[in-house]
This record gives sequence, structure tokens and C-alpha cells, in this order.
Amino acid sequence: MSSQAVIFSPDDMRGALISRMLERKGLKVSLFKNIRNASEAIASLKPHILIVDTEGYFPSELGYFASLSPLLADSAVLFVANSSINDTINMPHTKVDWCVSYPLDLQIIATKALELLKPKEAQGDFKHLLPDIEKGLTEEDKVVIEDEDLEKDLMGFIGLK
Amino acid sequence: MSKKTIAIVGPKGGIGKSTISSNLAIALAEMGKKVTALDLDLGGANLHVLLGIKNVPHSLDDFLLKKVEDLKDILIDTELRNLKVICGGTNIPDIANMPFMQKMKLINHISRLDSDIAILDLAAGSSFNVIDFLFIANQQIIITSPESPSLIKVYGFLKSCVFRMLSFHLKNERAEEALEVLTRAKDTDANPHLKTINGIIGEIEGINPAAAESSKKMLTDFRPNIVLNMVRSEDETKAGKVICSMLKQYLSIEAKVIASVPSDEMVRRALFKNRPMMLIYPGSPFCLAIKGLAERCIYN
Repeated sequence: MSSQAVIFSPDDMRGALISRMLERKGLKVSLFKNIRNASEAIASLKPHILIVDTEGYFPSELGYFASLSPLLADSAVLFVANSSINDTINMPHTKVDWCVSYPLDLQIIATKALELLKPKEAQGDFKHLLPDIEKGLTEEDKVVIEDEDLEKDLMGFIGLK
Repeated sequence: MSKKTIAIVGPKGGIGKSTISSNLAIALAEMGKKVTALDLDLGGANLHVLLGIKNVPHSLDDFLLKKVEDLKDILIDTELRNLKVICGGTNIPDIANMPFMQKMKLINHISRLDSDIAILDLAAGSSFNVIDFLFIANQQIIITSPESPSLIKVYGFLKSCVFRMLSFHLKNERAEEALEVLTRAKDTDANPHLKTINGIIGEIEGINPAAAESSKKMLTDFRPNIVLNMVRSEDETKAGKVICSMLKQYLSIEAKVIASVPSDEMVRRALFKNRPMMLIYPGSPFCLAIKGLAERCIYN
């Protein structure tokens, strides 16, 4: 089943570009230009991810999205903003990430959105790029690392045993 | 240093440090930051090669030989408006063993560069010059691959860093007896209890509790970032977790993995084309990871 994304963007062009990129990545996308419509959609659709394009918005207006936090408890939120929003937005029970607003980098927005949609235990630092690389490996090429064995080996080599 | 200075070191040579440095510089410049990339791989300069800069008009050699007065006189423009480079020296035979006063002069000039971010691409190895340039940065990035030889080099390098920090600190505190502990700690066969930093601090505590306390506090401020490079599978990323755990347990430092950069065949192609990845394959897995790393560098 496709993940549902709600995109809020006051800019037609940016909103359309972000929508198209995420649709290409397999998400079901609903795009809104108006905050009220976006919040009604959040309440009714309960999206897996909300993407907030902040271009042209004042930081204080973004606080509105923080107030939607209870509706987004099971969702993730990706802010497209020009500085870290950690100090201005408090959404303690929601998975939140952000990426730069300018220049608009659709690849990074898609990558981060997909990252946020992964189950928490599978999240990492772009580890989701690795399966594509793994596909190109033969069984003999694939490395299996056992944490304890590696630590034991390293301790032996370093002389810490 | 008030501007952001990011030092990038790869204790084991050949693990892609300069490839990451050069492309990270480009990523940051493309995000609107004014970036200066400095090749401080003294005697082994190659940042200009990775950035595709041919016919280098000046380099650190000119600054160190006092042919120019200021580092800004040897800034070289790149294709990107926001990115300038200071190329490393290659002609001075003993440049890697720069005398202390010359190093301090260079450090002073680095701090006066007019840029938002200075990226210092350091040499491989654990020489004092590499460690001292690492210390001047407010963000330290250690590049490693997931294999044991590289991880062992990371451990050894950071152990050298910790020893150097403790040495400076204890000299400042005029704790000569405590300094003796560091000397004894070099012979771990004779002093096995001094294999770990906890053991060393514990020994110092018996001699000079105040120096031990201040040393512990100083070490908590040293938080290097690790980037795992040339990663080919999810399993290989476990190497990052293992090395961070060992650094915490045996060196008492909190390191964390801030990026896992995938192994990417396009990197090799870019190297043969003598063009940076970020300019010719910006959508590749390598570049996506570097862009993510750039964001972490700006906002952490």
C-alpha cells in the first residue's frame, strides 16, 4: 500500500515539483496551498508524512504546524526551510526532519521523506541507499559483520585484550 | 575561531578523504555558504586535482616561503562563485614537518579568512601537525571505511589526539607528576592498567585530583564525528557502532557516526574524468549522502 503524503506549499511551482517527485517515488500525494485546507486534510487523511514548504512564510506562522502535533503523532513531518527549525518548532511526539529550502533540491526532499517513512529501527544515515548497491553484489561479495566478533578482533589487533 | 572550521582527516590513507572534502566543499557552496577549502595535506597535496583545477598559479609554498604576505593572496577561484581553494604545497621537501612558529602563523591566517566555512583537508597519519590542525577546527570529521585496518587507524589516531590534549592540559595545569603518568602509559606491557584513558585518569586522580577532574571535563568536550565511507551494505554500517563503542570504553570520548557514504562506481569514473562528483553526477548515491552530510555540518 502506498504511503500518503500531504504537502503544504504556498508556491504553485514548488508545490507541483515536490508533488511530482514524491509521486515518482511511489507516494500518494495531496497538495495544498492553504493552511486551513492542509490541516483539514491532515485530520481526515491521517497522512504518513506531512511536508511543509516554508518558502515565503514567517517563522512565527510555522508555529501553527506545531499545534497540529497531536494529529501527527503517527506521522512524520519534513520541513523545507532555510535554517534549522529545531529552535522554533516543538513537536516532541512526532518524527521531524528538515532540509534546505533554497536551492530547492528535490532529490534530497525525496530521500529524506523516504527515510522518515521507514520504521524507526531501520533509519540511519542514508542507509536506504545501500540496498540498491547491495543488489549489485554477488553472495560472495556480501559481507556479514557480527558486532561482537568485530570488536573482539579489533581489541586483539590494538592490544586491548 | 568564530567562523565554522571543519577539519577532515582520514588516518588511513586512500579511504576517500579528499574526495569527500572536495565534494563536501562544493555541496556547502551550492547551499549558499561562502566556502574556502584548504589543502593541508602538506607534501601530498591533491585537492586541486579532485576539484579539476589545472595550472595552479600559487599554493601554500608561496605563503610559507613568504612570497605573499597573506593567505588571501593565494586564494584560487573555482567554477563555483562561493568556493575558493588554497592549494597545498608540493615543492618544499620538508613541508610536512613545519616548525611550530610557522604552523602558528598559518593557523592565525586561517582564522582570518573571509568565509562562512573553512574546510581543512588534512593529511593521513597521526603526526603532531595533523592533530594540531584538527584541534583548531570547531567540527572534526574522521573518515574511515568499515574494514578493520582503517578502524584500527582511527583508534590509534584518536588515542594520539587524546594523549596530546592531556599533555597540553597537564602542562598548563603545571601538573608535572601527572604528566609522568602519560609517559608511563606509553609502555602498556609494563603498565597494563594504563591501557585505557580511564585507567590513566584514575592514576592521575591518586596524584592530583583536581588535574584528573579537569582532564575528564576537557575530554567530554572532544566529540569527533565519524563518516563511514565506501559502505556496500547495511551490515557494514555496524562497524561505525563498534568503533564508537570502543572509543567510549577505552578512550573516554564520545564519537558518533554522522554519515554512511555508499560505495559508488561513479566516483571512479569522476576521478578518471578529473571532475568532481557533485558537478557531474549530483544525483548519485555518493552525492546524496554528501549533501546530507553538508546539511549536518551547517546545522549541527
